[in-house]
Amino acid sequence: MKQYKALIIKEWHTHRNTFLVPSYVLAVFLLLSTLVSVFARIRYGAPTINLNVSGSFGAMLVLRNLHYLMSVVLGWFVIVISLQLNDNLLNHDFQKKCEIMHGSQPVSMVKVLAAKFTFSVPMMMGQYLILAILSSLILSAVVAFLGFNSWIMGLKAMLSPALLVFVSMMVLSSVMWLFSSVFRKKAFLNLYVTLIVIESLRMILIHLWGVSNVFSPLRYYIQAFTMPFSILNIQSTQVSLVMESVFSQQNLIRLGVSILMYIAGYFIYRRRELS
Amino acid sequence: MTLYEKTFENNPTPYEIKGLSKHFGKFKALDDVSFTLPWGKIVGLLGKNGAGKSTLMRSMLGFLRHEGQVLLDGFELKHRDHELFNQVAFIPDVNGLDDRLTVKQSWDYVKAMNPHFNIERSERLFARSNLPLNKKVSKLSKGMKTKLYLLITLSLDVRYLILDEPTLGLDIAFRKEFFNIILSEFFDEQRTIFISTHQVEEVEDILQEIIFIDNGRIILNEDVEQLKERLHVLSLPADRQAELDIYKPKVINSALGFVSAVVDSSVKIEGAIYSRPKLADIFMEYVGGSHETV
Repeated sequence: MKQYKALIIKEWHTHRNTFLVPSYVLAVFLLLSTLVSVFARIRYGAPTINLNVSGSFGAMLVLRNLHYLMSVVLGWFVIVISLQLNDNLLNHDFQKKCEIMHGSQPVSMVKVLAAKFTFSVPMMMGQYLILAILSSLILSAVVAFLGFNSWIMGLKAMLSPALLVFVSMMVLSSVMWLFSSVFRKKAFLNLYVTLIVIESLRMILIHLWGVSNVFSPLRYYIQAFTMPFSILNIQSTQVSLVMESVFSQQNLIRLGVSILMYIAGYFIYRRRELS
Repeated sequence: MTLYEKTFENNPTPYEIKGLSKHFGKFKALDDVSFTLPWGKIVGLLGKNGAGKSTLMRSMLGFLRHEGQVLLDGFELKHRDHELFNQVAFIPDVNGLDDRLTVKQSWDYVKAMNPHFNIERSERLFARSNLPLNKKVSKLSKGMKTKLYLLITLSLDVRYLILDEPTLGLDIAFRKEFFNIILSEFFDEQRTIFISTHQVEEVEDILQEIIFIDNGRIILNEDVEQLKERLHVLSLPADRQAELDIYKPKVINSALGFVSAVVDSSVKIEGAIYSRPKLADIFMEYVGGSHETV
């Protein structure tokens, strides 16, 4: 446990700037929004915003979707940073020429990679949750200022895509993890080039030989990315429907595949030579 | 207590390399290398650039996949076997510290990672050094970085210290300090130092055994004292070089009207001057080539 904690602390010291990009960006966004609001208030007076879209139910629907969309956008951003973090965690020691120092410690590869995984996925999930709750509270406070009480509804709407963001992060991170373990440099670029090449070959197969039902990794990747958006029309109160969507058979298969990718990444990373 | 330590208690055997070979594509970097690192010795590894010194050390440490066996305390080490580092510490030729950490963070990291970290000794070593604890490693001079790596490594209670050109590019004052610290803080009859260096003159007096490597092969592995007893430098006036040529030395040096070469100590020529050979001279006799490569 002491070694695992030390590994997490080391990752924090060496990658905290990348890790905290979502927090930095949200902070800048909030700061700019506040400045623009204050400037607009001074220049043009109090705002007159009409949220009465087809009555108060319509207004609540707009607010609910606003919270939801904010959560999804935040989720996507956190996922993109998490992907970059995967590459950095697996390859920066090599790029910074300190792989041998870290490889000369009596610590198992399982612990080393578990710490990297914890930092790039569960801890990023934690950051997303904190930022989502914070964003929801700020948005609700602004809306309350305009005369609408949306605190609970906003929180529910903000958190309803959270599980799908987590599944999406697991699935996409596992692909990036695998590519980062294979490629010490430009793993991101290699991932997208591979996806495009496979998709091109797939299209050739389909059009020239009329082969159908060929698995599309690119579609798999895009579907995983757009997953958090899929329950927009399900009300936050319909918990069972949300859960059904999160733990659908397709998502469970995706999670299974992502676990296999993490395991494959472990073995490939372990086989690396240090020089 | 680790598996290695338990085995060592019952059946202590040294660090053994048996039939080690390493290919990089078609290039054979190591060719059937075998030797044993005994306890309580300072063993030097000499070879030209590209002879296979670093490859040998990295293979011994499991950083490179290889053919043949690396055994520590009777256990065969596999590729990337972390258990090895309960007994072995390594300083590479390029400064391999993590530039993104501060001095204190590097120290804390190794302290938490390595169960053999001797806190008392480490605090003493760091207190004596003038290393700025809160400074980033990237901001340290090359000498300071090497010193930090050395102090962290010497804080470990391990039996083998492997050094791959540790003082490359450092000034002479620091190089002397480096070896003094190692001798005073690490070396005893239970511990072994295995060192490869280009500055052979600086370690000549401390080396007890020597290994010469050339083209990935071990060409000599001998006790330094025995080696210097077995060979001597024979000098003759330049006009008598033909008498020296009979023994076919690989290198004949000419200076101040004399020619000299390293030959077997049984070789005696009337009127010749004999002197104790330096390791660099012996190396040249075995390997040949330019002095600059030693």
